[in-house]
Amino acid sequence: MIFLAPLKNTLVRLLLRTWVFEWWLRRKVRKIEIAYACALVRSAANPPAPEGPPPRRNSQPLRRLLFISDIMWESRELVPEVAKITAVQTLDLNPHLKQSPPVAAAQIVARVVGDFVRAHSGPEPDAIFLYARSSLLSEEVFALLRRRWSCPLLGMNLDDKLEFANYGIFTGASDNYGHWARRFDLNLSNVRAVVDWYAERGLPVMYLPEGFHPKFTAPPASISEFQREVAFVGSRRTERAVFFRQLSRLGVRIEPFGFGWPNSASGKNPEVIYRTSAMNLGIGFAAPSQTLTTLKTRDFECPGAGACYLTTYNWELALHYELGKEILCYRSLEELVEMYSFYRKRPEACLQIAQAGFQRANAEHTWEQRFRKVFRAAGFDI
Amino acid sequence: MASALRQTLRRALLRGPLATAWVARRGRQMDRAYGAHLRAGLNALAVPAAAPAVGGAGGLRQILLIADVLWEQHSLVPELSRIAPTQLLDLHPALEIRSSATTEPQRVARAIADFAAAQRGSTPDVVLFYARPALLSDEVFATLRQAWSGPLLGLNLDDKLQFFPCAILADHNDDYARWAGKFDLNLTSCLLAADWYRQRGFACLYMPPGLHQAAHLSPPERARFDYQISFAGTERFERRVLIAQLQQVGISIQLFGRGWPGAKWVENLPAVFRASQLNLGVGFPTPSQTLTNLKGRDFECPGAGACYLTTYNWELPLHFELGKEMLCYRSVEELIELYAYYVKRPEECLRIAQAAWRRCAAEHTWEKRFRNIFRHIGFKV
Repeated sequence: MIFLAPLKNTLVRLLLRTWVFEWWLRRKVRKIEIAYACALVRSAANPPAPEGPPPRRNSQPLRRLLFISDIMWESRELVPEVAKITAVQTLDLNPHLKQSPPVAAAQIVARVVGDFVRAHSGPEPDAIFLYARSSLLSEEVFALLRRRWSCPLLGMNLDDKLEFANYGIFTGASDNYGHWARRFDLNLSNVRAVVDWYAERGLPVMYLPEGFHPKFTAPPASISEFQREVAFVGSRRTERAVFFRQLSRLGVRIEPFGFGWPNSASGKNPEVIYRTSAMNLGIGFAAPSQTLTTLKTRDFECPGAGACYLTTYNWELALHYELGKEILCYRSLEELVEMYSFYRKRPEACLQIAQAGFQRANAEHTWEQRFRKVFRAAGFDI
Repeated sequence: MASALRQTLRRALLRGPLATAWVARRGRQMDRAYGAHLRAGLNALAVPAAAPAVGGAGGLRQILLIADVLWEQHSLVPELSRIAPTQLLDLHPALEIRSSATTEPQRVARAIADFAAAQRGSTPDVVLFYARPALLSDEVFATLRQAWSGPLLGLNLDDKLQFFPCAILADHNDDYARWAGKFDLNLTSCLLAADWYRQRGFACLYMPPGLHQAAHLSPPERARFDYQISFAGTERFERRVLIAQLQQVGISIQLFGRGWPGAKWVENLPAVFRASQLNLGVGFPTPSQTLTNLKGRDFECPGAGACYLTTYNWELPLHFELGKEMLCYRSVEELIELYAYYVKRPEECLRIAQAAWRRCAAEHTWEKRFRNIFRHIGFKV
């Protein structure tokens, strides 16, 4: 039995290449999409359950927050914003997970958290915010945190469409997050429909779309700042390359920035690229699905930088922006070509959208505003 | 002879899966042709939306509407009549006569000439001619110009499929561009198409479809619905595909209209819209489910005070606040997600319906659309 897993891995590496891999992936993802749709229809029969954290008797001060995560974008975007509300101590799991020793990720996390808990000597945190995919979670991690501290434990999932339910379709996938959600005092989810699933299971939950960390105090003032028509910031992926090739055949040229694109400049300062592009392309799929969309950090970061953002339509975007005025959305490749054809001749309209998007994002969508709301709802006096 | 034989063969052979494949292929061909035209025009510059002052500076005393009348009688005519007395020349009876001796444009020209002769002495200040390309010819325009000297306005509500020459379907409803230069002003419901007209030197204004809000109808007040989700409309390929996908996952959708098994034809559409918590819209003009266009339903359903859930189209947010006045889906998966969320929240559906009602009454009636157009061209209305 012990030889089966390595044998399977070797076979997978050998066979799953190029179009075979794409076919295999599409087939697997389709199964998830169908399972997701069926779960939605089952949930539709239930009345809406109450949302929000359980009521607390007295409001508490929030002086210190412990943030635990496999940190990537969070140190630049999320932590500085939460730090505007309270002092933040971070436990970054990333360096430990990167070493990838021959043990499961959840075991590494449990060890790292255990070491941290034992070594911790400062004042107690008033809240712990554990942002981790389900493959990093274990009973042991929760037990370690609960034994050491009695403060509320907050969890967040920004990919709930693919991760909440127990699909069991990909080996080692980060699904079945619902199993761990009951261990948190408050769950934060960025998927409106899945918030209902938490609530139906009696789990404390709040809807929390992504936010952004503002970098500019004013939107761009003139179209003279535009240096290109359409930019895309993000690393090269097969599905993105295919999409851009299709667009190119229809006459739309995208300038990509990021790792893996040939002759591409670095995408390290995305905000500068956003502001100097008449349109900024977004791709809103909950990868690897090419059908399901999900809210993305980019949906707030790009308009928040004062840029005209043109992304895949997703009904939840309309809950946060006035579409057509603050951001633009396309339904399909063909519609994207139509919009490109219309707006490339009207840079003034792009500028107006960028300015309106900037105002909305900065007024309502910073991480600071999001988390102030969460902490208040959780009973903290901030 | 050849045409009759072709039609007989088509009726005999195009059934079941063969018909489905044929329809889908035609749809893809239309999409490709549209894409090619779009690409060809990418580098053209935007032309300002200047409308000619063809209306003089006087009042508008009489409007003449010429159309192969279907919905126009109940929706457009009452609204135009609020601006000025409106005469209607319905081409439908003339087109109903099946005759191999005359073509459709010949029958249209004849109907116009007969009408003009019968109405001698009555001079419309403006002629609004709403006709598909297959009904148009030089003779038709010559007859119109001979009969009346007032400005001639053309209306096209299906420009994505009709403006360019495609020659894919046998109904000849393409190459509207060929006739657009014959009008003093063109009105199009496709924002992008306004650029195509102007780039060719044709006067054009963007005018989305509108609605007629019945005077006796008030905004909805209670979230009590007879149907959770319904669709009203004739059975068509792209509609059938979508509805089958919903039924497959267990969503029971109430169907109204011709062609659906067990469904009835509806006389009072607004009553059905208001009795449905969610009203499904399907925004495709072709069977390929790729292109979308603005539809009369996009205004008629919200304007009835109903919660409308339709295919996303980038022009819709220019007229409604999505999520507050109307709901839109990108794919069937998203439609299922929206259904699951909203079906358990009838009060939210009611709020959307009420907001939609207000928006439509304030901005989207045919009367408001046409007052705007008439003012643009110099009439005092």
